[in-house]
Amino acid sequence: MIAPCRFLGPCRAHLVPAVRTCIALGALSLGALFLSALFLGCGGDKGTTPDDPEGRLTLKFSYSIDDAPLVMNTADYPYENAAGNEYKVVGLKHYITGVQLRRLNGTSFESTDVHLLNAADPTTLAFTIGQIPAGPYSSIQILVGVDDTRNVEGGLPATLDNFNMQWPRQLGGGYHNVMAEGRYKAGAADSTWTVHLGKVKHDPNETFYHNHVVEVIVPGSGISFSDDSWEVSIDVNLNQWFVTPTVYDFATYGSFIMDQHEPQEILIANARDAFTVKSKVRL
Amino acid sequence: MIPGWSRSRLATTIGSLTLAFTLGSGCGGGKGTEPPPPPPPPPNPDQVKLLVPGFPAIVQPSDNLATHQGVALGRRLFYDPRLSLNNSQSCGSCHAPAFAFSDHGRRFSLGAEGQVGDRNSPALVNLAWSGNVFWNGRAEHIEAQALQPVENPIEMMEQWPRVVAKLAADPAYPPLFRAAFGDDEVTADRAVKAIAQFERTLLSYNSKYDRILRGEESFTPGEERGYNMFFTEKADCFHCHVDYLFTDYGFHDVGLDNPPERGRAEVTNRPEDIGRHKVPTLRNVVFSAPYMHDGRFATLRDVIDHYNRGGAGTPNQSPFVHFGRGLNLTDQDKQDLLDFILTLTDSSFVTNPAFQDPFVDGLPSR
Repeated sequence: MIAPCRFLGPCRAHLVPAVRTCIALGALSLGALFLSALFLGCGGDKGTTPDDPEGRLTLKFSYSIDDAPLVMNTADYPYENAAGNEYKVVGLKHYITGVQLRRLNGTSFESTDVHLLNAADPTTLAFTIGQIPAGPYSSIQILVGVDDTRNVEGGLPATLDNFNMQWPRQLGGGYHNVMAEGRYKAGAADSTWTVHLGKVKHDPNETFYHNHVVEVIVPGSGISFSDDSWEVSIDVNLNQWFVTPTVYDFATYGSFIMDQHEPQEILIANARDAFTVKSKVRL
Repeated sequence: MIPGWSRSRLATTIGSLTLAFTLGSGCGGGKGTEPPPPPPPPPNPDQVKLLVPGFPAIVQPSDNLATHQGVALGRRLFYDPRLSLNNSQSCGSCHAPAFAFSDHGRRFSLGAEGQVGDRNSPALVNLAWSGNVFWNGRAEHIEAQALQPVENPIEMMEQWPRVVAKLAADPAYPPLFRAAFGDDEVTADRAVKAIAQFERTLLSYNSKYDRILRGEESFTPGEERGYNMFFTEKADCFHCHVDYLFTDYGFHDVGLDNPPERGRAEVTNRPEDIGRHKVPTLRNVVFSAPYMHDGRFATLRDVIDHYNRGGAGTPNQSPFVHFGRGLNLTDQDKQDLLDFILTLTDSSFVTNPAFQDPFVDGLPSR
């Protein structure tokens, strides 16, 4: 059972349905420069003027297997997960939307940009959010996947990259939130594994729901802006995605999971431990 | 009618896109401090609008935006046999419109002197979205691709300087180059740019499937079963042949042989690219038999059988070709899948007068 998020800000509430994974972890506050209570809501346009200082936040993502950088498309099967599957990774893409900087008073600033990250393409792994109102923020929340409003057919700009992430309308439509796949040893031969997360049904008689959206409140991501820039590096440990609270066995779920409620739920719940802050630097 | 897809869905989709942009500007956006963007340049009446509603935007190279004059020149060059050594062979010789611009059902094309090639001539359908061209992607864009067959010793066997001389000596061509590029100079660079402009206009978007999406027609029961298999992991076609485009324009090893050919690795030298070849679109695929980079499969049913077996388990075989498991499709499943794939047939594409050989019936003078 997945606990619903208890810390939704006023902007997220209209974007995210009731069922979701929310990883609430400790947050740091580096001190107040302005009374953040002045800046209610989600945009960069609340209570500020063009002359007010603004911050810029660059988020950089990296991918690892435990303590080593992820190496994709290897000839052999260099990795072993908690279920004992020896595996390799061929592809790993996912969206990040709804980057939200939260204040202790419950208000927040949110970027509505959509970012498609491809672990095989370093040029996609960093992005900058500008025009952040000055002040202290207690944590950074990221949405792994596409927010519900835009996770519908045609909901994202019509680019080739977005088309290649489409989630079939037979399965609810919209986009893959996460598209990772590879191969693993299965006895003397091998087989394929996929981590493709998107809309799913509990059973055939239900409507599709959006519980695939993973919200990660990045631990230790408290930050305070004046007229400056910060860079926060977030590492995604893919192997950790297969450990807690449920060990994920490729031999059980393999590569046909897009219409299966159980593996989707396990992978969403397991995501909580895969994201960590590696560094947080004022530039 | 597609289940869950209303007759106005296409319009709704476009509307949703507009709505998404609207929503996207309402939260976390700018504060109005940015200077207003400069006004767009006035529209060029000569420019060809390459736009397919519901499809991704077509990004043309900034130094080769298609114009009516450039496309007309490119079409003429595409079908001009003087691009070959013995004036016997044009681009259209191996890329015939009636075969979705593939080569008349041949496994391998023949060169200017009858020599046999080593690759199946790919269909030219919706190249406007394509990056790397050729089965191994050795040309970064269409312009670079159009340069190569002329001098390939197993294709047209000619040299570009000789082609340029032949074209410049034809009084019909310099005015066409002037119309397209501003002066009479005939160059190889201009010739391939014009051919690329023509090839970008080879757009197919009026198949039965498109008409179904627009609410104008309906699937038969078999087509609908095939449609549902195609777009679920029952047949798992859609990861590489993505909706609308029916290709991801990428490179995949589909487990044909073990050990495989080098494929994309011929260009990149990366071991992970061994066996990978460019994914063709399935639009109009019924016209472009035989199939695969080497034309090994005579029919679409042969292709389906291959994927149903799960591939040969090559080192880089795509996870979307399910080695060791296959697809467990029944004969009826295969027929239904084929029926759906045939809904991607766009007869108006292969018969489009704007795509045909202009030299037939002596239309333009030579």
